[in-house]
Amino acid sequence: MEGVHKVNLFCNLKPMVILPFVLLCCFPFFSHAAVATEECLGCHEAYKGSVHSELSCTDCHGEVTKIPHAEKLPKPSCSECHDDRVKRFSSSVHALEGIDCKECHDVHFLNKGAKQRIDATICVRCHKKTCEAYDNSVHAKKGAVSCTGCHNPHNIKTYKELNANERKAVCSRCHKDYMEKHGWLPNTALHFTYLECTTCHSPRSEKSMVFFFARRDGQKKVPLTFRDFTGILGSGGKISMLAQIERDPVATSADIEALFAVLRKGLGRHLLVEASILVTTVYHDHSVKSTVKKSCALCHSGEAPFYRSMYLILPEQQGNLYLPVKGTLLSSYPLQMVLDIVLIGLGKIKQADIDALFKLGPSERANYIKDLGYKWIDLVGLALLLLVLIFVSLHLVLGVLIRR
Amino acid sequence: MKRIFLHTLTIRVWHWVNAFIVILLAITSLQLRVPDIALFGAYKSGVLIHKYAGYAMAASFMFWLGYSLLSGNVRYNYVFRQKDLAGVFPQARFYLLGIFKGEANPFVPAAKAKFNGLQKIAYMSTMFVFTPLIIMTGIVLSDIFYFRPLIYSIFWGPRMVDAIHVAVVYVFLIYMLIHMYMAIFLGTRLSHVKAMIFGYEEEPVPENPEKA
Repeated sequence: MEGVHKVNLFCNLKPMVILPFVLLCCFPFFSHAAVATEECLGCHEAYKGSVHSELSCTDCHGEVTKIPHAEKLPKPSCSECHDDRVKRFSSSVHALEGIDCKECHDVHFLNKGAKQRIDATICVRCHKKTCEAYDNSVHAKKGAVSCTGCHNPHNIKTYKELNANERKAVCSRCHKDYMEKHGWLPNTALHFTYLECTTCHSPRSEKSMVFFFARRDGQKKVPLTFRDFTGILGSGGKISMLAQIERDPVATSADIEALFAVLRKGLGRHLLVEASILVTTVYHDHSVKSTVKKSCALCHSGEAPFYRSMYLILPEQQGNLYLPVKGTLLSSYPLQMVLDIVLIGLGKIKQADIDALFKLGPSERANYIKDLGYKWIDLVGLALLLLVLIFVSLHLVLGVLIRR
Repeated sequence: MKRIFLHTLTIRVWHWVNAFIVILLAITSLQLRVPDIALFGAYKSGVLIHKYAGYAMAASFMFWLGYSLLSGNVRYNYVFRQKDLAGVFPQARFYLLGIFKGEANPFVPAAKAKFNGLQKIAYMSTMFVFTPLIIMTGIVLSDIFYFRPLIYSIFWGPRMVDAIHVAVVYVFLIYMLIHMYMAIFLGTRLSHVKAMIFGYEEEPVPENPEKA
């Protein structure tokens, strides 16, 4: 009876219940059925100490079902385990340049102690010049930080994609007291709104005055994104859609004015042009301290180096376009465009401006007269002063002569 | 020669203190505008001197305004009246021609009528338009963070404040140039300058044509 009872029990179970149970019991045999890790290590013994050795080889190389396997195996997908990191990495400049995980991380030899952190020996493979400059810097000599101490290679952007605040954020992680240390600088907070650390602390880097379109949001000024641009201009692809910019990749004040006028239709009075003084060609020694001159005239003068290198930043779908800016700027723009940007020394008329007014041809002169902008205050003011001085001198001389 | 009392002690002291502040501001402004000219050493020193001299100028102006309103200085010497208008053209003709021909000055100052029509136009515009504009824009520029809301609500941004400040300063400098020239060279033996020191101006007594 007992036997009959057992048979009845199995007969009463439905196939829908049995099948998953059987599959579940057999899963380990199917999944690792082909090759066991011990078998792999027979040939690849060196991989034993890897941080990945906690996994079985077929966790990543699931397609290996027998030994010997094919010489070239398909690339395993790191995102199955490192999903977040791979997602972040996919928008980094490294990923956009076609670099994959394996270029920096030797997954088989990843040392357990060092974990995933890579060192400068990896970075130097591509960034030789940068590493050489850095090796001679105070940061390196004092052993302050390695590359990854400042830069996260998984979400790194190119230097030109970082605005002044993002650049300052890198330094201020260690140099938290930078505002107090720069108390000697008049209007410290105002200066740091427009500058980044390396503007001064890397004398061999090239500095530029960069302009960008921004939107006023309460007290904040938010740089326009690619989406903002295409939302207003209705154009996909590159922002550099202005025909004349495409033909001649240099922005004149007229080009920027035209673009401003179009954008203003979409954003109204909230639109403005902002500026920063940024490093645009990096020499990777950011630790120069003693030779930094505490001289205001270094920047507040028409001779400041960044006037010779000015750019308009236009956001692209990926990255930013740095468009060289030609001619006198800022002071020549309509007021509503550059309300916020004042840099002492910029509105000052120079000998070269006056010379140019006399030497240029009629059509060029008309443009130049417009480009002088706020410099006209100096020009007219000085001319009037000179005229009055001449008049007064004549009056004096005439008076003396007649009295004799 | 007759001596006419023109300037009270208060006005004389204020004038020279104010002149010192204006000269300090003018010199430092040159360094601010042309940073390569380091008259006061570091640019920062120039900026600070200009800033505090500016505050002193504001205080000096407020003092002058209060004193002038209470003492009648504004009422007697600054308010432009019908008869002042009539005197403008003869006065201008005198400075441009008559002075060279040895003609007498058509205007004779008195303690309660110090300025001729031309002077009234110059001093009134300087003290009630240009100086207040320079002071207001200067104070705003002295701390653009603190005055930020004001800068946008009244002045259309810091660039415009700067532009107004500099443009009016040029007008003020032209006024200063003419003022100093006329004070030093157009009186009789520095009579205008002496009047601002001692209070009394020595005026030549016009010859009586009947007696001559």
